[in-house]
Formats: sequence, C-alpha cells, structure tokens
Amino acid sequence: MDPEHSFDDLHLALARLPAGRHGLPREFVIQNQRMRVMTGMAQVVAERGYQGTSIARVAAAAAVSRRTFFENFESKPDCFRAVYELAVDRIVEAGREAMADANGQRLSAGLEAALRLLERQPELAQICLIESLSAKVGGGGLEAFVQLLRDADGDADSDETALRTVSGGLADAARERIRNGQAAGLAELAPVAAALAARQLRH
Amino acid sequence: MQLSDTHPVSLELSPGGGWINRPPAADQRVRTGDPERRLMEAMLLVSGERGYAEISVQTVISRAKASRNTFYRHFSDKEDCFTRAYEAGMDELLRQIIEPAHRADDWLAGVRAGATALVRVLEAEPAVARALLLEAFPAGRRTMDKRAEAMRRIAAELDRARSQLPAESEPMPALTSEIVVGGLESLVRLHLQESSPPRAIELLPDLVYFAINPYLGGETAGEQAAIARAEADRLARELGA
Repeated sequence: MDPEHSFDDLHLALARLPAGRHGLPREFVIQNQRMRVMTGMAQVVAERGYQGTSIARVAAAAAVSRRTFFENFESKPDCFRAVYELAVDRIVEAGREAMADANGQRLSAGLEAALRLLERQPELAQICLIESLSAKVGGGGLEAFVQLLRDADGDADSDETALRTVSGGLADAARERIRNGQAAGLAELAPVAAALAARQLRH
Repeated sequence: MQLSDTHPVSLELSPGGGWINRPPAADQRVRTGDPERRLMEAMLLVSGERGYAEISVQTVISRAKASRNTFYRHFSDKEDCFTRAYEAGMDELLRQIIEPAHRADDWLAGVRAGATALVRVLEAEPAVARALLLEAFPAGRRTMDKRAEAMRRIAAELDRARSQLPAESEPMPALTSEIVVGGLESLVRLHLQESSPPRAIELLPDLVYFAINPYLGGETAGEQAAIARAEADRLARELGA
C-alpha cells in the first residue's frame, strides 16, 4: 500500500482540526509538529499494530526527534489517544454530513456513511476499531456511533447505557468484518443497527 | 481445572461450585494441580491484574512458583501460554453462562440465569474476568478469534428468541443478535475499564433489559429487569459488602 495515499484521509482530518480552532493557515498546520507526530503514530500503528509500536519508530516516521515527541506527548498511549480521538471525530463528521443530507431514515444514512468511510479507509478502521482495544484507549470506536445516535435521537436525555449498548454492538460487528477482511459487508449493518437503536432507545 | 473431552486442558473458574465470596480460590488453584495448569491459571491471573502487555514469562513463573524450564517444557513463549489459557478459560466461562441458561424453564429465565452467572464470575474472579474480557486484543489474532467464537455462541443462544416472536411482529434480521451481544459485552468491558467501577452486580438489570428488549419489547424487558434487580440485591447480600 502506498503510504502517501493510504493516509490521505487522516492527513486531511489532521489538517482540518486545528485550522478551525486556531485559525492558522493549513500549510502551517501541516508543518505543525504535533500533527506530524500524530501522523507518524497512525502510520506505525497501522503497519505494526499498537503493541509493536515504539516511540522511536513513531519519531522516525514523523521525522522528529524523541525530544520533540515528548514535548508534544507524555507517552505512547497519550499520543495514541490523540490519534484515536481524531479518528472518531472523522467518522462522526462523515456520519453527520450524511444525516444532514438525508430525507428520512437519517440514522441509517448516517451510520451507513460512517461505515462506508471505515470500508474505504482500512487504516482508520484498524486504528479505531481494533488497535484502540489493544491499547485500551477508548471504547473501540463506540464513541463515534454514540454521537451519531445521540444526534439522530435529538433527545438530550438519551439513556447513556442504551446508546452504548447499540454503539458497542455495532462497533463490534464492524470490527469482526474488518478483522476477517469483509469490509465490503459493513454497510449492511447500518439499517439493522438503526432498527435496533429505535427499540433500545425507547425507554 | 479439569481435564475435559473437548479441550486438552480446561480451567475451572469455580472449583466445586461454591466459589462465591472466596477470593483466595484463584490463588489456591495456582498452588495446586499439575504445572501446566498452574502456569495457565497464573497467566490468566497476572494478565488480568496487570495487563498482558505489561507482564513477562518471569511474572508468570513467579506467581505459579514454577521454574523457567518447566514453563518452556509446556509452552513455547508467553503468547503460547496466554493463548491456551485464554482458550481454556473462555470455554469455562461459556460453560458457566450457557449451562444455567439451558437448565432454565424458558428463554426469559435463561437470559436471567446466563446474565446472573456472568456477574457472579465478574464478582468472584475479577482478574480472570479482566483477562478474558480485556486482554484478547493486546494478545493477538488467536485470542481475538476465540473471543469472536464465544460471542457467536452467545448470539446463537439469544437468537432463539426470534422463533418465539409473536406472528404479527416485524421480521428481525439474523444480524440483530450479533449486535445485541456485542453491545452487552461492551457494557461489561466499559465497566471493567472504569477507574473505580461500582460492583459488577449493578450491571445485572441492564444486561437483562437490553438482551430481552430487542426481541420481546420494553414491557417484558422491564418486568424481567425488575426480577433481575431483586436477584442482584439478593446476590449482593449473599456476597456481602
């Protein structure tokens, strides 16, 4: 796989986030060391798995020094958490765009767009659904679906346990398909999960 | 641990059945039995306590009071030992969940019995439960496969509800039970990941509610969750504060 290409989406996500927050020009942001370190982390984890990732390799992939790594992050899990949160944001964003455009069946459309992004971006899926559990950082991608379900539900008091149950189950079903090289089957989970959400969120 | 027909070595999470309120039981098992089983028991305990990524073969042999030679006579490395311990431990956990469910009068009582058995293991064997629920991913492909197999078996049990659905209800896709089980497992996993979680017993009503609600609706699920709530209170008294 061409590393220049396979990380396009993550690069894009990395570039987008701070531009909004700090109002910095994108070129500057891409140079930003923190972002470079995060991209390096994403690359090495996608190639070697979280357990096989060392800070030395991340620094080398990002072309920064070990010292620069530690100026930006406290530890390997700290840096991975930043990558994970960005990956979750990217999935949520894809789902929200689709929900905004949908006429009816909003949740199913949003979940499908999120799953299709994971289908198109195997590294994103790997990091979010599998390596996060290996790192014990976050809920294996469940946070992304929780946000989409909450948006679609439009009820600020949605039962957190119900949201987590549906989202965790969807993330797990997606995870097993990614692990078994069946990413093409991800989208079919969307309507089933949306129907399940309609039942589980109705307390 | 007991020899079983299906597996060369199986780990018994609950020696003699009466393992509730006996936290030292796990360490007793590590002290007795043949070296291979003791090492596997010790592996699950130390992985659950510290995390698979944080331990070494030395941690395991110290806990099992075995020699390095003994370890390498039975296992090729840390991963081999963990994988076999995980497989045997997961088979035992499944047995403990599914057997009471099958003994129950009907599907609803079976769900309650299975969920109750699960929280009993979480309470009585917290380290083993953590190893089985949290360490499959750090440990690698084979343990992830074993975990997936266990989830499919539980999903097949829950899926039996679909044949009992009232005739007028909408057809439910087979995928539903896969997502339901993954969701229940997520609740347990998130519980274990909390820094100071409430007692595992507190999970029982939610596990029962969210297992039943997709198939038989909120009214039935609510009734069953209330029964589970009473069961949880009884269990809390049985286990003590």
